[in-house]
Amino acid sequence: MGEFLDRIITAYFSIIVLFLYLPIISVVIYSFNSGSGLSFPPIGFSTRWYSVLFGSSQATGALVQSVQLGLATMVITTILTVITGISFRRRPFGRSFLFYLILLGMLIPGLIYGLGAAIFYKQVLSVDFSIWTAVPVEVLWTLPFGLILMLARFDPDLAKYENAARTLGASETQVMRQVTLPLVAPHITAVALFSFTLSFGELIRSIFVISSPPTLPVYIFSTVSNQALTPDFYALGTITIAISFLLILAAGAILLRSPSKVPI
Amino acid sequence: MQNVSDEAFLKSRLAVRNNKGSEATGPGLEPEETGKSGKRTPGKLGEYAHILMLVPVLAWVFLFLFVPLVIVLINSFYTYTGIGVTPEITLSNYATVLFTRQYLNLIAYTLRTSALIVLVTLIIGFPAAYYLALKVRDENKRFLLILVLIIPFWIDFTTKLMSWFPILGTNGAVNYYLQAIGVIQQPLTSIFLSEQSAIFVMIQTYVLFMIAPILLSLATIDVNLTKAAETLGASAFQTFRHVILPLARPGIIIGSAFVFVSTMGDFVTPRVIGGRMQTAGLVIAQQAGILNWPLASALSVILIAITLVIVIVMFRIVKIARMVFE
Repeated sequence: MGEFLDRIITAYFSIIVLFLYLPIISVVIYSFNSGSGLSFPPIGFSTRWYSVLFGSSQATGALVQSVQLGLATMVITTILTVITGISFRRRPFGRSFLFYLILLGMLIPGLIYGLGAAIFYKQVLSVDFSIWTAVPVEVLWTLPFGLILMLARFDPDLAKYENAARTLGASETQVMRQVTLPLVAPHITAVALFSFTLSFGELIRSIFVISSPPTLPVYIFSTVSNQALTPDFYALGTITIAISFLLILAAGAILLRSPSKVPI
Repeated sequence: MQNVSDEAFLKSRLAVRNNKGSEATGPGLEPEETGKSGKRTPGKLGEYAHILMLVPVLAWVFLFLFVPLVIVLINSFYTYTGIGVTPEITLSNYATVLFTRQYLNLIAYTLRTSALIVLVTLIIGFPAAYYLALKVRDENKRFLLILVLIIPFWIDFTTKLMSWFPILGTNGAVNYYLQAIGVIQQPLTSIFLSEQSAIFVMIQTYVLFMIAPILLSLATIDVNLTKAAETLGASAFQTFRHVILPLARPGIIIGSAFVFVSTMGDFVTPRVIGGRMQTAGLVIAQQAGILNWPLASALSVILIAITLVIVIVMFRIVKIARMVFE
């Protein structure tokens, strides 16, 4: 009986995974479809949509914009996460409160602080929109993820290792270089990769504060909303999927091989 | 030097032991790290360095989250002139949102839809989290499976949206197979660009927001606990009801809040997949698009108020910070 149930739940899990990958499979298949429509079943194999894509300066331009925005968000998120994480180790007063405050970036609908930021820029600051005006709202979105991942590493174990090294006579510099940094570095890298990926594909917050040239999600959204979707967008989608896949796998591999694993 | 370190080490060990006893002190970081020993933080400045280090993140959250939210609040009382906004105080935006049938229906519909999505994601997400937490024993295998599960979350949102055209579209896979097995003769045009398909896509998009927190809370369950329940003669259902469910509760609550908030704020899926579907989020985006910031703001304030109530209730039930810090 128990074994039977186990088998069912294992099969169920596989179905859920398939369900989650359905969009990805669909995009990849249709990027290689030789037909020019989006009807099922796909007709044959071709890479012509990739040629069309690379001929489109709009698409490649949007890709570059998204990479720039992702990099800027990544750098700021990583720096803020590391400083805040280190500070949290010393248990500053009001730590939980600050943590909740940062978590608001995840808990308040992004659409609303996107709107707020747009009005803020126009009414108060009178600045024109660009990809840089999107960086602040992107960081609010990536910060909670980064901080949670960082705090998972700044755990009691870390302090134990550091103290053990001190007991063995290591100087503070040695502790820093030979114990703390090697233990923390994989998490810092993972925070960087995760925050890049998150902001690279983010739309709901950034769409309010970005003007042309758009980022990739904004570009795709405006095309889809105007019912102007063509198969070369699936080629574009496949490329972004590949980029995100590689980055997340890299982050996963780094965390998996780090001296002490965290269950995410 | 050696003695000092030993003493500090012993002190920290003691502190660890003391910490374990009292939950009130919470997160198990050694007090040695508070810098009181002065060993790691020479000088007066060092004492406060960690406080100063909070300034950047505080400034960021204040400037880009708090200030915009206040601006939304202020704008909700401003007047829309048809071409722009004038700072004339009025309550008419709130009157529109709270006293017209159209907007009340809109809010009620949005809340109902989000609640439905929460319910479905909970039902289909829970077994997946349960499987990962309790059925996969090998840590490396579990880590890999979690990675496999979360990868789609990191894929660009709009890319995932366009994937549905060849699946749910009029000439898509669903219609193709329905015709192939003879259920329908003509492709159904009503499948795609409808409320149902938008809800389906949102369930697909946000089910992971449910699985992840439930997994986090289930992962803390000691396998021996369920074994003990079995040994004591509990049925599978009783074990589930009295052991697993109470432990999964924080995850269920946090996951529900995440899914609720995300679906409420998602105006893109209804816009792209939903056909004529109207949600509060979509109306905010549309009003913002025609620069009617006051009305968009008033609707946002109402949504935030609802969200806040939900989040506060959630925080009263579970302490997220404790989950993360321990």
